[in-house]
Amino acid sequence: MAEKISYQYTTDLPNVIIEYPENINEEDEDDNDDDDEINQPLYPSVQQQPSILYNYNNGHQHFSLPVSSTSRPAEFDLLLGEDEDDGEHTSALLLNLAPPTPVTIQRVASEDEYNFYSKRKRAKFVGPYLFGEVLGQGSYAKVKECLDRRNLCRRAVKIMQRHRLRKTPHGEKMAATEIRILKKLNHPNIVKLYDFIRNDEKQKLYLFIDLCVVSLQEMLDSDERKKLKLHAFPTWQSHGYFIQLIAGLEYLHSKFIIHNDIKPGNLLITIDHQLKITDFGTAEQLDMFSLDDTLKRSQGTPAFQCPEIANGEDTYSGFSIDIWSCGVTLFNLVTGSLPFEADNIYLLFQTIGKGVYIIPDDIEPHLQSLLHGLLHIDKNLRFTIEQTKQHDWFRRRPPRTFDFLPFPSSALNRFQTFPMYDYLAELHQPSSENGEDQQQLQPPENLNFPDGTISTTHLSGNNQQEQLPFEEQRHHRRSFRSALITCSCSRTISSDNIHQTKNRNRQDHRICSLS
Amino acid sequence: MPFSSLLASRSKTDHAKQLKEYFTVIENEQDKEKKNYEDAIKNIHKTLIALKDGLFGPRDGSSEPAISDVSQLCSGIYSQELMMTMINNLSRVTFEDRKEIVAIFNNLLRRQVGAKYPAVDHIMQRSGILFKLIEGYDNADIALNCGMMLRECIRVQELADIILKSQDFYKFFDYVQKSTFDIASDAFATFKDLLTKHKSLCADFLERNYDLFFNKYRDLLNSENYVTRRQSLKILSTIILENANLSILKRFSCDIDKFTLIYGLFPSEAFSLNTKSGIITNPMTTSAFDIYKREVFDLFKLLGELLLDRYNFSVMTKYITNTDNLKQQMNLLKEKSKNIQFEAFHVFKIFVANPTKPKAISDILLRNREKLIDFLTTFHTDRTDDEQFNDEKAYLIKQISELKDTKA
Amino acid sequence: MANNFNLTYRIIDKLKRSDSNEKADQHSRTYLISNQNEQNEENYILRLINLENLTNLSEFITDISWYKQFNHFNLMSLKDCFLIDTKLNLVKPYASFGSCADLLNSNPFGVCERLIAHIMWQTLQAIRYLQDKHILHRGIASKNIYVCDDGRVLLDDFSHCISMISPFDGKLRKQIFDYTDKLKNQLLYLAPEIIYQNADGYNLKSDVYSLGMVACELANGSNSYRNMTYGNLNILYAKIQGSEPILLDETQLTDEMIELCDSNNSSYIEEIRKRKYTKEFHSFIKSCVSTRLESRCSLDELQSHAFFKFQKRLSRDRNSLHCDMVKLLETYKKKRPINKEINHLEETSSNFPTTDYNEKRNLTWEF
Repeated sequence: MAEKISYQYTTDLPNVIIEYPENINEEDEDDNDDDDEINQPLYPSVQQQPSILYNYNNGHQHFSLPVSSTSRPAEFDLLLGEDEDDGEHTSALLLNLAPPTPVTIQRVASEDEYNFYSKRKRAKFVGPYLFGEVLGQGSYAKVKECLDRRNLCRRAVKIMQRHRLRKTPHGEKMAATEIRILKKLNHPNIVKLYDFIRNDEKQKLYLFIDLCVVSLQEMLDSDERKKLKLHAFPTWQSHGYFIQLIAGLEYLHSKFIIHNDIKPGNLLITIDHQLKITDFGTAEQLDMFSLDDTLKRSQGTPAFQCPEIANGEDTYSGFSIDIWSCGVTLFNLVTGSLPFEADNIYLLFQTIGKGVYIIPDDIEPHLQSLLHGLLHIDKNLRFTIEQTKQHDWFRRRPPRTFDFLPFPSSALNRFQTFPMYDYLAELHQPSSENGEDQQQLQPPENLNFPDGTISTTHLSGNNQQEQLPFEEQRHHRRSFRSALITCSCSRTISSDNIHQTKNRNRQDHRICSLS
Repeated sequence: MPFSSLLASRSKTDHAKQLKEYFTVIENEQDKEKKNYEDAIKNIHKTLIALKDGLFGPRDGSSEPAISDVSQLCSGIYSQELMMTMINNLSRVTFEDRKEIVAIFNNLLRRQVGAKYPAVDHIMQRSGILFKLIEGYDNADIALNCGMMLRECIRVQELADIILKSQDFYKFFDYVQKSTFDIASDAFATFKDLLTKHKSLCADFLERNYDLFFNKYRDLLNSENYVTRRQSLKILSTIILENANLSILKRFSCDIDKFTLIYGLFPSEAFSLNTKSGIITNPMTTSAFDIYKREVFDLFKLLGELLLDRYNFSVMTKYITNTDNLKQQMNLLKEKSKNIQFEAFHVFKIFVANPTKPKAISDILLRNREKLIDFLTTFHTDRTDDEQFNDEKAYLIKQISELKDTKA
Repeated sequence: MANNFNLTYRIIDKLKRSDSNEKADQHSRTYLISNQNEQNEENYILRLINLENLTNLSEFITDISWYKQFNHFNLMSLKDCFLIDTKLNLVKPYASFGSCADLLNSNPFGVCERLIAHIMWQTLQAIRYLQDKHILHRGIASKNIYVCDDGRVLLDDFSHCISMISPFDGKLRKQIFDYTDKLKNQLLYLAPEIIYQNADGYNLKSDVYSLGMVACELANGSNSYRNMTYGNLNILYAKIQGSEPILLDETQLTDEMIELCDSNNSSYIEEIRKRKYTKEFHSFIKSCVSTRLESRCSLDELQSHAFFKFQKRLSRDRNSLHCDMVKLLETYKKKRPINKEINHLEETSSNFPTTDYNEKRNLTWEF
């Protein structure tokens, strides 16, 4: 699966999001089982084989935090090295159960409040994860929703493609930094890396992280804010987020980590309004033996950078950089605007360098004093985290008012319907045309393969991968019974179903829809 | 609720007044036989539930209670000194009512009016409430209830400060040694909260009460109770390795007396210390050592974390230039327990990774070069799944094998 | 007290949990013991847990601390709790029939409706008690509901408990969103809204669903969602599709089902054919396991459900209620101990496999 197509990326572009719609299509061909279903036509392209069970091969790197699993003690960074084929022939632990043939799925009774799309989605597994909708796309990564089949936790997966990383300045380094740092962290206000899978053949990295609703930036930009005629977050809401931000940052700093790019866009909010700091691509891990937190380089977002950077000083104190950007973030949350704005980056840095900004009058005095402390031009007089935590505004929870900036409905929609439904449906009710072949396929049964070297055979006719050490007899009786019950759950049983069940001994997994 | 509907007609402040009256009835011990004592108990139950519902709103949490109602309720509670009364009578009311009281108490503490927490101010003026709660650990019936309320109080820095400054704080040294597992562990939880929740407060406290505190603490480490020993070692390591308590750690580690106490708990040295200092007073079975190992393991885990914590950089540099520490780490590497070996490894690696190793350190490493390389190559080979560990191990082996004889 | 436990308790037998396996055995053991200080030498369960093997001790202690917060006839209580070396000993009341899972093991076709009503009624009381404390149990499953000799039902395992009172601001929450890896063993019984992890969260009604699942399991003999091919994904899919478990009796038996059966299962079909559940039972299940929250009964509504009319009549007198249940239980086998003679507590702890020690290394450093 060599990369044949050449891309028209201009490598000297700054680190911004570039979208090339046409490239996405190319990529589809390139990957053969692409990750982009965004621009897919109604039905998947026909060039796909009806039954797509990729060869499982060794070398599939699989890492998971509790039961982690890598056989070779290689530094992770190796995999991002220039060495294009590290001698390993690997392929995805992928299973595509989706039949290419168009079949309308059976609709669920209307009383179920889920939206369904007529579009067929293809069910795809990477490791134990079933992949779903694309949530967002960045310069070198794409984020999708996914579902852990072991515990049914909904997660987000960040998919990084090596060829894309190459085209982003420092891309490979950033990816490596992000993974290295995330692996160490465990705090409620830091996005958690649950699992990490690397696919050498497809040159992809999968990072499984918390599923969040939206970033603070998106909330600020949302239509809801305009509709509610709010210019920013109400104070009590900002306060709630800000204390979480400081808690997370305190933890990061105690671990020698400087985030470097704190801004509303990098602060994600979960469904129960927990804040998670994300995007550690530009983060800096201080050397254990460095004497202080001095940095030589900082690549944050210009508007959130501090005067010492704007003035082009040689070295910066890392911790106060983060504090400054926290200040800008807080400013942004409570006023809706940025303290420093300009038409171009030179003017912007000029303004920041002077460190003069105006806090609107309607901001309460306590908050004003906190903002002044955080946005102090002299890094030595700027607040520390401890000082911030002791500040009056920080300690006194502002009374809750009735105004509230909700999640944008487009993002919230994901949490009102169940977007993974289509993929589940695809998995469970493949089209009848492909019936017999498809039925025999199973997702990778063995979930705790020690090192990814699962030698899964093609599960052809016999899919009796018996793992259960119970007496056969008993097991069959039980499973039969549950089959009955399962079928009875739905009150209708298609003859097709019964046929299957008989064939397969293990009970059939299908559940017909109601009605 | 049927009860609340009965009482609905009464005004909200009445609840507090009523409750106060009932409590005065049961406070009168002589009345115990009489009927009105039982009536009072029943009425207390009803009123408490009405109070709780008033504070929390509907059961399903569908709406918050009206602010005016709540503030009426609260002012009634404060004006009747009901908080104190409730705590005083905690042992007299029924099991269920105790929990209602806990729920009411904790809810009051969280309540904020404007920029103020009235309950906090109320308690600050009546610090007796706090001491009464601490005393609660003496009574097994109410110990856990008091613990829950205390921990809620400790969340507030001002209240934690009052407790830390009082002599009553030292009562915890007895409570955590209680033979009942659950009370002791609850007391430990409170104790730990007191010492870790507010970092600067605690650092300040330890600084000023260094001798008293650590002398008392010695008893805990010498306790006959295994859980006490295990838990107290854990808390100790948390405290002294806390980044805010850097000076305490320094003092502690210079304090040879106390340091040997800790190191005395290391299995390898435990036997020799046994006779000398009488630290371990009981004849110990081999399984008793398991606890120590566990603790040493925890301590080392924390020591490792401490040294790698940026706030403690100076401690680390000091630590890793001392040959005694290196020797100790190297000895721990060959401990019997795998857990300790592993933790020792994480401290040991800093010695090796230090770019500016003092001569004494590199000499030792050099002298043991072959052995170390040999040792590390076979060290925890079963830990194949730990990528980072294997990387580090490989790095260490490389570093050691590249060591140059500096004498030359 | 804790110090003379050796005199107080005598080990009678070793017990095996229905869901135990080799691995779990390494960390914990269960014994049947008798209390010699009590006049009738009442029997208890002794659960031995090796704290050495626990990585998260404080989490475990929190789980245990729930026991002390409850005092209800139908909630498992902790009689005693003491430590021998590194092993924590928990003494709990002995349920001679074991858990509902044990009951189903010996009665694979399910138990009778009257008994189910009894078990459900008592479990419901326990859940209502928890609801009063604003606590969501989340661990209601057949393996956690125990049946005693005297007809008492005990709900155990508080490790999934969560309070509706927010730890952040102390207010009562309308709904909660917590979903962690810990819940994975409980998936069969979890209400759909918990599994969805949606914007609506879940609330106290979710326990009702689990209760309904257990009732269904007791009647049918096995959980409706057990042994599905795609494992957990299938459970989710089925639940999203709006599938609701139902009771299998002659009214529900269809031709297809009969067609499905082979020699292994014919007896089960026969069993189904023979039985008929009352319409109250059917409606009880329906109102418990409804996927839609609005049509699911609240705990208070369940309390007055017609399914429990018999229990309600007897509920004034606990004895008659239990007598009735004991009569029903007579036909069922008690859980059988393994009959392994261990008489002293010390032995039990010394029998534990010792933790992993390396072979002694004969290595000396030169300093």
